[in-house]
Amino acid sequence: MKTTLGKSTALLTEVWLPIVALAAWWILSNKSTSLYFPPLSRIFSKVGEVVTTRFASDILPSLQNLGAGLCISVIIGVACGLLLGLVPPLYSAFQPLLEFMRAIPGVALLPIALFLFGIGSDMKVAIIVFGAFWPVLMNTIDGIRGIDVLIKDVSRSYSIKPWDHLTRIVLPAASPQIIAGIRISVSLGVILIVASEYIASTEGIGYIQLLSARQYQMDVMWAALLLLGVLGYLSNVLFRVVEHRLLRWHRGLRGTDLGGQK
Amino acid sequence: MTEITATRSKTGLPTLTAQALSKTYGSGQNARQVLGDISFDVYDHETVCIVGPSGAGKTTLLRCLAGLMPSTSGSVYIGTEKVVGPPRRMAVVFQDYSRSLMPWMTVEANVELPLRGRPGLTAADRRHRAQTALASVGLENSAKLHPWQLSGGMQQRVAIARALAYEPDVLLMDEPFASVDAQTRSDLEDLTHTIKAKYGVTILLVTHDISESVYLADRVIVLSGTPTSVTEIVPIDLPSPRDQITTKSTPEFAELRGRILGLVRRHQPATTSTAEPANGSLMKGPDLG
Repeated sequence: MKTTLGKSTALLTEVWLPIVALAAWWILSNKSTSLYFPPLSRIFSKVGEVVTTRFASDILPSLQNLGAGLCISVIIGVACGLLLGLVPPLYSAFQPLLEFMRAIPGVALLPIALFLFGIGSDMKVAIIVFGAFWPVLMNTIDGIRGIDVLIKDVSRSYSIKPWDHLTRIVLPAASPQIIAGIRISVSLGVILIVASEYIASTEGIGYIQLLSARQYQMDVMWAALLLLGVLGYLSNVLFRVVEHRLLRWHRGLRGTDLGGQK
Repeated sequence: MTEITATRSKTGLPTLTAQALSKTYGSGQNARQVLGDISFDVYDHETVCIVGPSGAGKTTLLRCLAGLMPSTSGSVYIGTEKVVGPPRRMAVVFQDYSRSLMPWMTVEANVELPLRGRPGLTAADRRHRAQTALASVGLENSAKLHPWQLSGGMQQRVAIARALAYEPDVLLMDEPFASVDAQTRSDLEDLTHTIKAKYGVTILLVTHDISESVYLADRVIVLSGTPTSVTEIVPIDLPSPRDQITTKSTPEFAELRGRILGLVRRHQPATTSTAEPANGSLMKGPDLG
């Protein structure tokens, strides 16, 4: 009872400001005749229209490309991070190259990705992977290199099997940092999906936005913008739920979650 | 309980042998010898404590004994087997329980982890063994909790249970009770006597607490300064079972304690207090006896 009450107050403190902001926007824009700033009521009806009529043709492809790009980023990032984190000489050899490559903004690869992958989904997924896997990689390496020496001593002195060492010690020990890396990747992924849809595309939320702006359908443009905001927000919420479950021990360790006695 | 701790067979082969062990860090001009020619034997069912002044390379010695670090010369044997890596027949309890347990696992999973993949041991066997080990340290009801939900003393009990479930011949303990409060410490000391009697395991325990060494040990190995060597091995002929109040208030206990304290102080390395002369503040304590 107490916890549900606590949760609803927490929810209230989080949502009151967005509600006030929307209400203000609604009232201030209500009588607007500006081409660029249409009334929020009209933007909302366009949101409904876009969601109902263009879900399969535009929203779904954006989500799929984002999802695929992030999944591949995480898999490659963690796998390479494990290798480089566990084999220090390999890390020393690759470090300068990695630092150089990750300094290149993901979007700068768009022109070449266009040639290599065309304007389809492959190109967008490739752009997301190239831009978004660096934080996962770097954080995985850091996480692994930072594992307590004592934990390694325990693993060695008890002759923990290599597979158990990897999956039950190394990965969980590095998981707080890996997850922090994935969180950055998610934000980067949203940026990159929109950028890739701007450059050359025939579908996607970014494409709707760009096209409607070119055709002076500013209400649709704003609707797509709102959708992108919601998409970014929801991916973050989804991510927080996963993080909350995976890192319960980490919060507990730092004394911020003493609940859940049994 | 009495017969195991009381009878000490020095006739058989030692369970653990350190033979002319030495360790030097670095080489050439930067070489720093930490251990110099350490030899001792530990026999079956014996509890041996290693004491020495701080900075005496106790941790280095322990890591060499545990096969976690190669010695520069000399060797360690478990029975007749030479130690080249962490031996299967040895389990280690580390000082810092909060770092030696996996916080992402339950207590039970922590205890079971070293048993995974051991041939002939099913998941049910593992569970059973973990339960038994946890029960013998009084934590049968905490199996599903995470280590960070337990007090420090309880966490060290989990680490002891993990070592017991591993079923070692030799239990190596590195200042195991140095990070808990006094009351918990004496509880854990008594627990050490209990598990020793129950599991018949041979215990080698490193400590800086001289009372603790006398209370726990059948023999105390006194180490001296840098490079560390064995000053003396003191037999502790106190009767078993021992008790925190009666044993610690006997004149024999006080005498042994005073004697070992004297040995440790005499070999206090001057390097541990660089700012002070050798007979400075370190020697100001109570009478050395």
